[in-house]
Amino acid sequence: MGVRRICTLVLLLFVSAAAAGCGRQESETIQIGSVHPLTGSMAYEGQAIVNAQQIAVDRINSEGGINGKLLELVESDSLGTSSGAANAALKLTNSGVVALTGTYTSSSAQVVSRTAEKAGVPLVVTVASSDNLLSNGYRYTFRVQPSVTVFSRNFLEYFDYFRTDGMETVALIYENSNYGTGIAEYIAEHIKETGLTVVGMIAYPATAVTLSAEVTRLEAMDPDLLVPIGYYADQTLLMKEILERDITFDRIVGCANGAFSDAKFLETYGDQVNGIYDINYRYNPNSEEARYMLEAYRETYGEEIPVHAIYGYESIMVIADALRRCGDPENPEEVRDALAETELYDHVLPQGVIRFDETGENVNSAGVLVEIRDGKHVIVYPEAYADD
Amino acid sequence: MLLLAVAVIFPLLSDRYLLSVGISVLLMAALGQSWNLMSGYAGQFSFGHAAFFGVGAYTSSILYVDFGVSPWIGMAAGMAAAALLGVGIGFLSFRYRLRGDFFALVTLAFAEILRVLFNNSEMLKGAGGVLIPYRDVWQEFQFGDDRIFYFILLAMVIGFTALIGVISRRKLGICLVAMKESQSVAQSLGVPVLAYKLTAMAVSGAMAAMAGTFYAQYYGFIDPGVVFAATISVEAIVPCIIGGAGTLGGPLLGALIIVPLQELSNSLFEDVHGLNMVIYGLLIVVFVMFCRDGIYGTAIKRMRGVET
Amino acid sequence: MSIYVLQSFLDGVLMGGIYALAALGLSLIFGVLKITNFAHGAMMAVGMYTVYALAVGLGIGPYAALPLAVVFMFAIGFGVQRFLINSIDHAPAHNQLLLTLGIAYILENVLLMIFTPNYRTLTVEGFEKAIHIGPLTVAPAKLIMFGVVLVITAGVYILLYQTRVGRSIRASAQDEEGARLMGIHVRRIRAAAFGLGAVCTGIAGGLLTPVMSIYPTLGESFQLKCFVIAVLGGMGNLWGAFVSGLLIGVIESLSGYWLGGTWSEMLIYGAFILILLVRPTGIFGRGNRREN
Repeated sequence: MGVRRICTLVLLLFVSAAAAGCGRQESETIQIGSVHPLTGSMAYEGQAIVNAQQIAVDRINSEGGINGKLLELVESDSLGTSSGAANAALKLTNSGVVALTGTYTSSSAQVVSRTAEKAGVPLVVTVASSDNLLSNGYRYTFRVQPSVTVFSRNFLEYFDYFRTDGMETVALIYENSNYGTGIAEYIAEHIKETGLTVVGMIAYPATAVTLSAEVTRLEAMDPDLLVPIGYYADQTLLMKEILERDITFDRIVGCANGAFSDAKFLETYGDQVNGIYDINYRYNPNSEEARYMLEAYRETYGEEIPVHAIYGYESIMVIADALRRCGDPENPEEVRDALAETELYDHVLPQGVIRFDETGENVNSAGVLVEIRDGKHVIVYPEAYADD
Repeated sequence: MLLLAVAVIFPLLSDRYLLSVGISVLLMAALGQSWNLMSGYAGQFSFGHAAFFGVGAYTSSILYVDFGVSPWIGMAAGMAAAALLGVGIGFLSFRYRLRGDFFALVTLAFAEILRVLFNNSEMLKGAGGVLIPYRDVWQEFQFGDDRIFYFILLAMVIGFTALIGVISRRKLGICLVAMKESQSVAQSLGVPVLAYKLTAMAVSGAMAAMAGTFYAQYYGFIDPGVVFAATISVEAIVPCIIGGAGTLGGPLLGALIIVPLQELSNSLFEDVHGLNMVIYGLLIVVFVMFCRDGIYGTAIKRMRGVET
Repeated sequence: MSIYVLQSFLDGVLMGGIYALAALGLSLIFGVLKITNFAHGAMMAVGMYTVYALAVGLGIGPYAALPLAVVFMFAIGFGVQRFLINSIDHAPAHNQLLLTLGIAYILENVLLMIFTPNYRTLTVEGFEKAIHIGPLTVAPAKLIMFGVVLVITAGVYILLYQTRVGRSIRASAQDEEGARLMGIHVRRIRAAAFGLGAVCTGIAGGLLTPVMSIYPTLGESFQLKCFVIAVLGGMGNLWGAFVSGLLIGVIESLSGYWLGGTWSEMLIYGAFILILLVRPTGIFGRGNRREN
């Protein structure tokens, strides 16, 4: 292989990458970019969000799109890495998206947030709960979902609704990344105000393949209240062990638990997990649109919508609402301004109006308290969204 | 020369996305050159370059965010820390005669242990990571225009390459390669094996740390799971093997080929999730199987008329 | 000793069995082929999904699926060695490592394409509750898991030390040239050794299918632990790998009990570095050590 041939090869590669990457066509559609992990260890969560976004886009298009133009979701794999997320985001902004959505992990969200700021394209965060995400003073980043602090605060606010008589001690078991540690530390610090004593804090890596010893530890601690915080795989590992060994606690209450609010969890464990509580993402059961979303997701993808993916759906709706209100829906700058003035009453979330403060945080974001009752998820608080 | 001209003109012609891909290429090339010195030339096979990269990124970021030290100075501090780490690892493994795969496993274990330690250290902001505030101030290694970032990184890569070029022509480099072939022979000829190896490791570690600081400043956020990740260590190896380990141009060429290829497969196979990574894996397999000395290495051999 | 410590010890031994079997495969591959296999975790995941697919597809339950999985895993391992790794025999260590890494990317993402990244859980009828042995409790799936581990390990041992194939494998491991002169078809034997290693790790994965929710990248969580165990036991030393597997299982469990999983991770890596430095031939001596 001669030097000249190598040079030609490299040049060819760049040209084709450029051609595949950009190509800003005068398209007939309004494009919205979606940066999520579609491969790797978070692929399930990422793909579910994109699926839910597609449902939202289809719904808007079936109603005629935005001012006669159809919406189009353009997705790009963040590969779960910072550089992957940045490249994906820029590829999308280049191809002419008017807004970005993303990204599932907080580290990728930070990177895309900066990228969006520099590129002047608004970013609506689907799922990323880190508290400092909006602390940069960026103008282009908006977040609909509840942050770590909101979830933790909800946990304490709803405390009276899952408290039992004589509840005195609490233990927390949590995965050791930003999200698990953040929530666990907040709760541990503030739960003393309710009079409970923290008897144990057990951290484990989300990649753990066994939690037997940790469960034995919990058995030894024998707290009245157990608070597990983690992702789907590790939390099912935990609950399987607890159920198999018939270890009981007065209450098990998850906080943003990746398993407890998931339909698969109920399918697997059925009535055994009755009486477990979780403070988590949820849809508003009284909303007509939410019922449509559930049905459409079930029909298209053959399973119940995972609760975190609801925020993927709503992120599209929030953007669509902004697009309807701006003069030129193909100008990202105007879309940003419209997003900042969002005042969305009609949505699928269990919260009041969606409105962003000056940092871009959804001011009314909140989780709900869900109980597993007769093998079903039932919202018990706030009452406005209660199922019964 | 031609390549250099293209590299300089490139950001003036390209859009944001291509520029970002260009930065990915250069970042991989920088990491690759760092790996190349330690592993390609000196034959100490590292599988944990993320350790040096992460130490560099964290040193400058913590100094900047908590103590207000400019990242330019922080970068130097990070390089020193990583060089020290390199010397430490190098000394231990030399003292205990660790080679080949076992040396690779030790470096991997160091990167992992640092990840766990940083993840659990409250002083280092733990799992929450470090957020680099964004202001357009050059004294703080921040630029609104990504093209400046690009040129800084380009200068870094050229500097690394030049440094390795100089080293490889000096006694140090020749001895390093000789040691790679046979350590005992080199030793018997009076080569100060330990000192040379440690020098190579220190310089290599410092290079990776420099890349780490750049990464933190450019992307604006680091956490232990990102900068100490195995993927970083892999990114240091891939361009070298594909381009040719132990050759000066190998890592540059490797990065120039693999990054655009990966972007291309990401764009082309977006609809079938997972296919992009299958293609990436296939590319690696094909390059390793059919280009044993790497593209650059093979080209050089051909030019010199040596049959492989 | 409190009953809880005893319980943790027991859980550690049971999980250690899986580590032992997976690491046995890695150690075998290293011993014979001198290859540090970074596709090991991915092969474990292939084993998990093979058992899952067979159990669900044929409706035969995970344990009846194991023999079929053995055949499948052997074929995969044999093929990978024969057609991919063999062709870069004697290349520098980093080339081989990168090759196995590329194979890992392919395997994991093919799984992702076929099975989607969704979490899969296999429940076995009648296994919902643990068995009580005195004050201790054991999940039936884990008990069977450990039993199968013992059987397979014994099987591998007999195969290597009592059969002609086994002798050929060991001969090629010790002296490749000599083995060739003795008329052993070294290429085929090496492929068989890789196949055997793949079976060990694949079955270790398959046995976990009824124990935990599986997803395509789950194998990665075992990768480094397998290295730790194989090095601890002495790379290429099968008996050492087995004992170290149990040991690591117990260390992990006890430190998990006292300190929580975060710290057991750190403890294991720390021990790893220490052993690599001080006794790279493993704590049981006799392992072979790669010289560059």
